[in-house]
Amino acid sequence: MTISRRALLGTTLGAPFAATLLPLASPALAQVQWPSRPVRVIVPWPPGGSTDVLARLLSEQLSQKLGQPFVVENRPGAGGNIGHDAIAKSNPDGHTMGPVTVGGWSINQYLYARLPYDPEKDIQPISMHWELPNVLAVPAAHIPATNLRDFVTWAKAKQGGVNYGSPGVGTTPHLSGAMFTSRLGINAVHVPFRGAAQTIPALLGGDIDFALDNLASYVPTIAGGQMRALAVTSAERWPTLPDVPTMAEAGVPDFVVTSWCAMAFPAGVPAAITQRAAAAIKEVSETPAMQERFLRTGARALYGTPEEAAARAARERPMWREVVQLSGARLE
Amino acid sequence: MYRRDWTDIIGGLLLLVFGVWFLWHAQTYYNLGEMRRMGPGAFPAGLGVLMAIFGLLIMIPAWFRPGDLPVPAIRPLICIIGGGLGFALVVEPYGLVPATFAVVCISALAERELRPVRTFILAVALAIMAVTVFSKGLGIPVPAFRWGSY
Amino acid sequence: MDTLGMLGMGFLVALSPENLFYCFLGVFLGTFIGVLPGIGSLATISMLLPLTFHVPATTAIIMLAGIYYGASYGGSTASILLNLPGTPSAAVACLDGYPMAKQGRAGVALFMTTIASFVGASLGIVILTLFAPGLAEVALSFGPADYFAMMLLGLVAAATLTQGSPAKGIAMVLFGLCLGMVGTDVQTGQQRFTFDIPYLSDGVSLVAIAMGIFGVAEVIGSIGRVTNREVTSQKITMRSMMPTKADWKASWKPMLRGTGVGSFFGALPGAGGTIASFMSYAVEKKVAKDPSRFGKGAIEGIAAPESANNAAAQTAFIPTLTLGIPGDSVMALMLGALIIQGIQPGPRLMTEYPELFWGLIASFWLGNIMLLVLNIPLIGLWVAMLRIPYSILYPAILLFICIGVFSINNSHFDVLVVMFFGVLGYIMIKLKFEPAPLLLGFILGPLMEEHLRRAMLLSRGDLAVFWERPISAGFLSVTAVLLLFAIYATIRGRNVAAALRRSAANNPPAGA
Repeated sequence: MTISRRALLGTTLGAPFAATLLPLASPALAQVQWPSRPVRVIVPWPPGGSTDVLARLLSEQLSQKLGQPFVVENRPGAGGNIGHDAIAKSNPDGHTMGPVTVGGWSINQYLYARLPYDPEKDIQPISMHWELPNVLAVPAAHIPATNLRDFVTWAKAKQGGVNYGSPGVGTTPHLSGAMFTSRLGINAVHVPFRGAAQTIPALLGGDIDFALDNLASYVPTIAGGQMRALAVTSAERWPTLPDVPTMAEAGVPDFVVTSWCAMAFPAGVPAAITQRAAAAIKEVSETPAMQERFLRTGARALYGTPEEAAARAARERPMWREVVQLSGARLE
Repeated sequence: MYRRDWTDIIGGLLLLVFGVWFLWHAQTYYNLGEMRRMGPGAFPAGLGVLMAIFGLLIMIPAWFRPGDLPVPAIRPLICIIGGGLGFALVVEPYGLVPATFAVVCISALAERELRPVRTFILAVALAIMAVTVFSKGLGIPVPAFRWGSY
Repeated sequence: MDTLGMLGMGFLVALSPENLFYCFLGVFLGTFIGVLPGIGSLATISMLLPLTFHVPATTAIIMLAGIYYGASYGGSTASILLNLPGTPSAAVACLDGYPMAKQGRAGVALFMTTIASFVGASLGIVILTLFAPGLAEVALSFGPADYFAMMLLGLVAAATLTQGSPAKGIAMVLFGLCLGMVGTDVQTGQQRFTFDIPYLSDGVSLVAIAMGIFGVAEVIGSIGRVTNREVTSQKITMRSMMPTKADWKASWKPMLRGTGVGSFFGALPGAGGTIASFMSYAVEKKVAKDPSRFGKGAIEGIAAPESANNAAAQTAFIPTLTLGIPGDSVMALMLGALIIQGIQPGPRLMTEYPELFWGLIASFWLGNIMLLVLNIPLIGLWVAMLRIPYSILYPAILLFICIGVFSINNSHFDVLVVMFFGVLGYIMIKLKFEPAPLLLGFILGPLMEEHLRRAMLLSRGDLAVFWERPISAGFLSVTAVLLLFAIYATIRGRNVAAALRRSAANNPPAGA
């Protein structure tokens, strides 16, 4: 256990030794307890958003489970790219990780003219972390339709087309809105906002007609009756909104679009550490308490192997590439 | 007192130059769009024009009235800014304590009278406080020291 | 049960020992982080979030809310003492608070801000209690065109924030608007004025600008100029901290007006305390008999914005609690805390969880009383700090600026930004440009552009929306009246301020 002793010292004075030794000594580390010192969890989004809150929930559990603090560090900016890049460029010793959302894995490479990192090569998935669906929400006071079919008929008939809101260009709500309106032939204008906190008042005030936005922020107003949920974009009905049909049930087949997130290391972390981290995430995430806690914030806690996460990222890339092209979004 | 009000002449000129540059940049690189769908360049272009106009409005009358010539204090300017830059460059690779020393020691040069011992004591005291209050107390994710493993 | 009965029950909840303790913990932490420049309640609350899983929901939210409004109490302290705005909304307190400190009246200024905070917050709570549902309705009826018209009025008011030439004031507003353009365009995702620096893609941080042009520039300007401040020669007595009768007389009306302005802006999602405090400063300057005193230590100039800021901190809970729509990111985080506890904020919160809703409201009152008790004894301590020789104080100030700004995004880039704005602020001092209009332009600019373009997008390019919507038409006519008065007064060579005072008295800021 000499290495872990030294690594423990590393938090104070022995850092230079530990830092240079760790990558070299990685085969030996496979048998060694991970983590041997505090782990930085780089969250590429500002404090308070879903990604941040869920990462903090997981970090707290992992700290308790593994006996080392998991310290959340927010590195927001550029659609998550700054934080994703920070994860990709960090030292691959297993002591820096972070949640990377579907944008970071499968969308941003088609959206941005250039990315500072390569999602297929520079980041190593550990395990799935969570997913949440989008919900098609309309303001009850302004839209007569109570089901998706009626809504589509109403939208097609509306003079001058309809307006849909999103939390910004290139976000999954924008892209799924573009996919929805083009697939059903609805004449629609995309109105970007800075987030659901702006979109919801605009919906309730009747300025825009619908949004296909991340479900979590809409639950209060849906429960309160001001907003009507016409469909969710997950494959199955969502536990907290059991009365709302899926897109397929509502008559739009083949429309499964969820926002998801997987924890990631920088590429080059020894497989043994990655496996161990994945196992730890599974252990804390599969407990009913954790599942329940995630559901309340609007997301479903996921877990799994690194390979599963990589496969999902790869599987969704063609779809997002097509949708990005369709929406015409292009960012620098 | 000078024959012309150089304070406002310089100020107006800077605004004029900035406004013209802002307009040029907006027009060259961003789409102006139309009323229905205003482009990202429309608002900045308008601002650039207004800035330039106000630059002229400030500059022209100043030419015809007496005023002052502003003289900057170069040494404090360089040392204070240098201290901040020192912090920025040191804090991520080396940690909070070296960064504190950088700020305190560089900014202390701003004064004519140098007091090396006092500056050193101050740096030590502030470093201890910074680590206790910010890294330990408030949990800001910067370690006291960091070598290499960034 | 009627409102009073509900409130009584709320007090029973809030007065339980556990809730009292967490309330105190929250306001204490809030005051502390509010005083530290750059360390905001957002980071603190997010760090404490996991702690709240282990206490009941009501207790958790009472503590987090305490941090939130406690921080807005403490924010002005560093502005007054060191010209260093700890939070964006406290930048206004620099304008008259710092001159007061230079005149040796730091204690009075701090005392008055504490009182003003208390008044603003307490009345804000009354408004929150009585009018929450109504105000939420008003907020919802604001469309993009209305927001644009309101911001335009704000900008015209901003031009009057200056003490010197109006042309230089307007130029600074414009410059602030230009700085606000930096970052990603919301409508198209285009990067503007970012020069391929990814850190600039979300724009320049407001705190970094404020700390640069106020704090860093002041440090540069002070070295060599002040060796020992005027204040050091003074004895600190309780009397020297107490506002005089004249101070009280000059302050109570501004506090009430500030509360009105603050309550209104707080209830609008996305407006918030910063705009509220600037607006109330502008209002005070307009209604003042002698506007030239502002910026030189006028006590109204701190009393009104401070009560506005704190009233806004309370009424910001209206959209959060009644609609489940967070007004700002701190609110979003508190919503998150509630949701994790299994409580769904929204229209039904008041009826489904009355003990939480009214317990929280009652805790606001208790928390504000605690803040009052906590802050007044601290004033002596803060003022004593000014006796530290400047050659020791300024490296410490600079260090606090650096750490505070660094902590916003955990990025050294923001420190570079502060230093850039320090140089800019110093140039502005030398060229006699004022920072306040620049800040307001910076805050309002992006919002204005966003709402204008959104309004055009929704109306399909038809400008008629601006006069067809009553709210927008109302704001635009007030703006037009203000402008006409200004032009008229200038042409007639009459006292501009007197004319504006009359117009402002006839048109109090909407809804307030």
